[in-house]
Amino acid sequence: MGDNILNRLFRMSFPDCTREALAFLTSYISQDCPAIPGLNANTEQVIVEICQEFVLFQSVRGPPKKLSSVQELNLLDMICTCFKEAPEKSKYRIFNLMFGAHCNGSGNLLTKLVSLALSTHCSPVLFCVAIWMQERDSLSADVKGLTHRLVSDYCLLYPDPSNVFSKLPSVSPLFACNFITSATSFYSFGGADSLPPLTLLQHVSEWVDKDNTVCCESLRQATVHHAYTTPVPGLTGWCVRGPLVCSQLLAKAKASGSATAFGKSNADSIQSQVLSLLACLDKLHLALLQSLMFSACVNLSPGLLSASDLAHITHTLTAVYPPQRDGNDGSREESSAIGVALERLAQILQVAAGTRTYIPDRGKIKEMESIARHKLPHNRLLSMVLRQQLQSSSSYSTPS
Amino acid sequence: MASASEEIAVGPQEICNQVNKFLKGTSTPASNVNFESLTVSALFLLRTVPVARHAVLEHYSFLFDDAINSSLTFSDHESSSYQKQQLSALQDVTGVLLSFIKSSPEAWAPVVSSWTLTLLGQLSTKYAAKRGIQRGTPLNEVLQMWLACEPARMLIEISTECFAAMVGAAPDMCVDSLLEASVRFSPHFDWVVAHIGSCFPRTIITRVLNCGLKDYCNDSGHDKEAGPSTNRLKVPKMASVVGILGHLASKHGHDIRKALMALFEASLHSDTMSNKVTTLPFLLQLASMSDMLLQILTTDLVSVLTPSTLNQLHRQFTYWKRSSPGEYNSFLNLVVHLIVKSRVGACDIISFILNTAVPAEDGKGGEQPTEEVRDTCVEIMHILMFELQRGVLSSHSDVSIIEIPFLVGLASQTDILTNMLLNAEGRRLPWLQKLLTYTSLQAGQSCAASILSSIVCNAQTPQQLSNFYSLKQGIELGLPSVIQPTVLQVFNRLEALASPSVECLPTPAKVSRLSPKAVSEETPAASASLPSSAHPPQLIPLRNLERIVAAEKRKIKKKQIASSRLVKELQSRQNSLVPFLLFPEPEVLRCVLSLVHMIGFPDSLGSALLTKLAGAVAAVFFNSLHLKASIESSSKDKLQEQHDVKSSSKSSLKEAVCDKGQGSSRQASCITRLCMSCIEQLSCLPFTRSLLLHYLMEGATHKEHCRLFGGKWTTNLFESPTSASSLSSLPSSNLSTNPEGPATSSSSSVVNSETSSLLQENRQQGNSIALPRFHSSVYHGGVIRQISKVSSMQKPLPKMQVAANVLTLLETLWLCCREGAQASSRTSHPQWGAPASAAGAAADVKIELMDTDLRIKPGKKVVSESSARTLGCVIVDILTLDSLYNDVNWQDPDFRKVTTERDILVWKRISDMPFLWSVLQEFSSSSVFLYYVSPVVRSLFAVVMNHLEVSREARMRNCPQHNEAACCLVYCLAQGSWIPSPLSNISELFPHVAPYEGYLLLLALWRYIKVKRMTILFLRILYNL
Repeated sequence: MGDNILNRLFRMSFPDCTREALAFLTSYISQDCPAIPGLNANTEQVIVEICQEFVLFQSVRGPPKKLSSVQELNLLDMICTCFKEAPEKSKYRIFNLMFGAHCNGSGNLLTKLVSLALSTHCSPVLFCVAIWMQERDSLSADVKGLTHRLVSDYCLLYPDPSNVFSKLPSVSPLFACNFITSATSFYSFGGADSLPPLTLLQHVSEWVDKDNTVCCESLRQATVHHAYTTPVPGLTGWCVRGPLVCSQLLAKAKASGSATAFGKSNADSIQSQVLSLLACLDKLHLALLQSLMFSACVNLSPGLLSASDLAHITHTLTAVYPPQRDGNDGSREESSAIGVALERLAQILQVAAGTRTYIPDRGKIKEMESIARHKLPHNRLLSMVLRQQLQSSSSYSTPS
Repeated sequence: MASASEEIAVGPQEICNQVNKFLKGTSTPASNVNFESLTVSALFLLRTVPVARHAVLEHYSFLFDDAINSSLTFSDHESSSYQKQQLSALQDVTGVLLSFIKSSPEAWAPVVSSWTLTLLGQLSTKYAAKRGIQRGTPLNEVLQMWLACEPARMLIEISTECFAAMVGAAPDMCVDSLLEASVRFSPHFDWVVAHIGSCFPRTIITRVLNCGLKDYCNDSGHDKEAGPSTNRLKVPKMASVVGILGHLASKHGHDIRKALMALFEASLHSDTMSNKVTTLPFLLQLASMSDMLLQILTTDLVSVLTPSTLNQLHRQFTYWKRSSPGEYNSFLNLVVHLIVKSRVGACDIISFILNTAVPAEDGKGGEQPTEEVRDTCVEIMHILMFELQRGVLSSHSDVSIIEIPFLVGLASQTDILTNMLLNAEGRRLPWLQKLLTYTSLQAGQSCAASILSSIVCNAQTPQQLSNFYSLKQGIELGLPSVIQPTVLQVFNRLEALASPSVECLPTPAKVSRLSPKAVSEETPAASASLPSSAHPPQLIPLRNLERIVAAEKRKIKKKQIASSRLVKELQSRQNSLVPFLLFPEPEVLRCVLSLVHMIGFPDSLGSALLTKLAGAVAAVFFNSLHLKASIESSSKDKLQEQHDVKSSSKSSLKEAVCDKGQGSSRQASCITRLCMSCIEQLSCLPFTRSLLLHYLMEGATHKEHCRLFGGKWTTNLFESPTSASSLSSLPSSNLSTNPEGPATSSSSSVVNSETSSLLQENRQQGNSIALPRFHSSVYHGGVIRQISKVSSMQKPLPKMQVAANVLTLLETLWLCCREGAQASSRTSHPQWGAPASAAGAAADVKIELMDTDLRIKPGKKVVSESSARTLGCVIVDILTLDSLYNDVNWQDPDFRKVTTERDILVWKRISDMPFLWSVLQEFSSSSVFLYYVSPVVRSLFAVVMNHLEVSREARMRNCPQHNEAACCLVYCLAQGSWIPSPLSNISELFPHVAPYEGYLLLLALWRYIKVKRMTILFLRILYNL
């Protein structure tokens, strides 16, 4: 039958062969992989070949068949339909068959598939992708690439906020969670070149604000899948570094705006954009704190944030905040911005510590303290929080 | 129809439906989804489903294709409803895309731009043939054709918008994509590039250049071995860069120029090593691919490359040169290749290279190129020479001539180049010689001729003239008959020099009219006070021609060449040389004479020309004598003055004056000698010989010249009809444009001045009222004999000089009259070249000899019969009043009573012109001469006899004039062997006998001659036989 089905598929033309192949794969995997009659060995290989030839169109024999864009759209539509119709238990297995092994060539197709799935609210696909992201680690290159493409599709192409993204947490919370993680690492907010698009920031703050559970989704799955990453460290980084980077951008825009007339209009647009970024960040910060509180309420195991994450953020802060000239503390905007940044850091640390949702590490806290003391301007709140953490951790650690 | 701004309630289900509808409509060929709903769903997907955009764009590319196809097919007919529908759908999508590009350019512009560019490329390739576009169709027409097509215009509009959106943010990227598309759809895509380029000229030009440069840098960075100039991989991109620049050149040539120069400037000040080293090769590479760019570079770059820039470049390139000698060599070859290809500004390039290779010594404080830079230029020059040589020679071996643009460019500026050659020295010289040779070989005969002729006309020194020989040698290899047009051009220039300055320069006509005075007044001043630069412009070419001809003659003499083309060519140009014979400047005269002499007089010359020549030579002959006389008298005067004023203090100055005077007199006698040589040659022909004899004799007895030979002019003696006619037939007036004879004009001027002064005096007289009004006091008759006073005021020449002049005249006459002249000069024609060339170079040495000695011993030569006859007739014409009694037969002695008046006239005339005695004596050895001159002899006889018959002197010697005349006459008759031996010695008796006895002796002679006339007749018959 294996040879039969291959031969039959090879004789068919495009939409039919793929439809047939998908149907075959679905039925095969749903039946818990029975041995195919007439094929003594290596049923697995036949299945993989069918998938390669007729779904991914990466032929091992002969030259790869190139699909036109319309055909590709058709293909994506068929895959989505296939996932919708497949039994619940075999969905991820099918997904894994297609995109699990290695996503060298199929990455592009996967991206398009996800994009279509987002548009059509095809939650089965999104769920599978979310799992895939979590398994891959949301900070890996593949996942970041996917995120980048999605962001450019949905946040950059259309200036007005996308209907699709705003409803994402309700369609697939896990996907939203992993997407945020990956996005925060892709757009690190560490300078003018890694700014998250305004639309993205708006969406993310909206998500976190509306649904405090979003950040915990991946942690929730940690019981099933051993690996997990949470969006909280990344979001904290955004909230902390954001004000400082934004104030620098504003200063630069003002400087260039005063130079030329063209620069002025340009500077105005930058200024308004930066101001809305800042507003979003404020919102996000509050939402983040609420999420931390929430995770404490639902009694999840601690792990949303760790001391080393915070220490890392402090490090990056020193990179963003350049060592000050002697006697000159920089502009007033900048000093107030660093104040905001340090206070936010302190708040998050305090809330996380208070709700016990973070993984403490005395060494890291000490490191933070020394950095804050030597390389950053003094902030009363931060130093107080840090001192308290050190005392409490020492009181913790000595008995244990 | 949906528009971009319209909000649609989007649910996932709706999206799914639309996707399905779209897929159904596009994938199944005969779908039941109608066109309109398909368009709606496509637009919907475009605006809501990001992932579907490629599919939608693909769908629209089919639509565009279809629309272009149908618009081409039905372009003449009315558009169908379907077509309208199609167009409106396309307009919709264009609007949507434009709004997308406007709202979020970063995201949409790259996608849409690549889509439109690809689509445009595909469509214009696909429909090129259908539009009737061939390869040769000019770009402008193609552009118009495509813009007339509605869908294509939409596409180009979108793509222009994309470009505008992207150009600010990522110019490199979009130009890159444009270039790639241009390469991919090579000739058909050009119109797109042209359109977009003309929308953003400056950006496109700079970006395109930068893009090319970056590409070039990267490539040369990748493989060091291949070198910047030899890499093949980047050629397509370079080609498209060149192509785009070529499109834009017509309208934005200035921008291109600026951009290129800016690039070059930037490379000079660039920090990175790669930019410094690669920019120039890149520019050259570009130039090698397009003539237009080459032109820009040659004009602008050459002017930018000052010595300091060159030195800087040298510093920049030193490392690279050391590290990769192969690259460096190919770079040099590229430079040479470009030079060979550049047509405009070729001359600038050459002068630039020369100036850099061999800088002028007097550097004006500026930076001089370093040794290495100079060496490089020298190397370039060597390679260039080699290349040119190869090109020229290969084009000669082939049938079709390959045009070398560089040489074509040079050919249009040969004047500058020739000047450079003339001023060149050292290493420049051979280069320029070669260059000019190649140029003329390439450009053909007329150019070669103009080069050679301008050398002839401008070379000041023999060194400069030597260029002529070397060039001629080179050119004649390829163009053997180049000499003919060269000579033609030289003469054209000479005539051009003469013609515009008719008013300011003394023309031959004027000169001849003023002749003796003008020469005597002008020449000393010119030769003494003014340096040689004051020579007339005609002198240089003529002198150069003379030198060249002398060299050719020497060669002929040494049997190196059989015959000279140049000489032959000049022989046919004798006609143009004649006017210069009457030039006032002695140096010019000398040159022309020597030329005329060396060229010789071939048989082919027409009689009119020969007449002119003979006349001119005769005129020059007398002028030269005048010149010498005036020089000597003036120098003597000066010497005298100095001697008077400061006797011994300024001996050096005296010497200088002496030298100067000697130099000019040498020159004058040189001219005389040359004249004589010419006369000698001319007298080979009987026709010219008799002409010359006429001219010489008439000239010698002419009012203006007779002074030279010790004669004096008595107006009433010679103002007879005969002499007037002879005057008007004088050579000088022959050639003059003014029909007036010299004598009449001068006399009229005298009269004019006289009358005017008389009028003045009369007026003054009328004003005075002191005197009573008599007839004589009212009209004042003027000063009596004022005219003769004026003429007698001229100082007589010193005797020495008169004697010398007479000798010279006699010698000249002899040259005409020699019997052997005809035969000998025919056979040994080249022999006459020898004294002539010597006259050119070493004439001065022989002058002394000539003045004192008679080279030709008259006694040994035989006077030819025809010339004797002519001479005799001429003398008779001059001396006698009319031909009434000019019978050669001697009548009875008593018949002399009838002709007394005539005889006295002859006597007076000959005593005014004593040199005629010498002529008589000289040629009396020829009995033919004597025969023809016998009327004169008879008249003289008669006068002497009449005098002696009535003389009351005791001895005949007491009347010396007549005694001498009688002796002379007897001598002449004896010479001519008219009287036998005892009779021929009677002259010895004359001093001792009484006058009457002398009369008797002469009477006896007369009778003897009368009887013997039959013998003479017999003699004549004998000669005629």
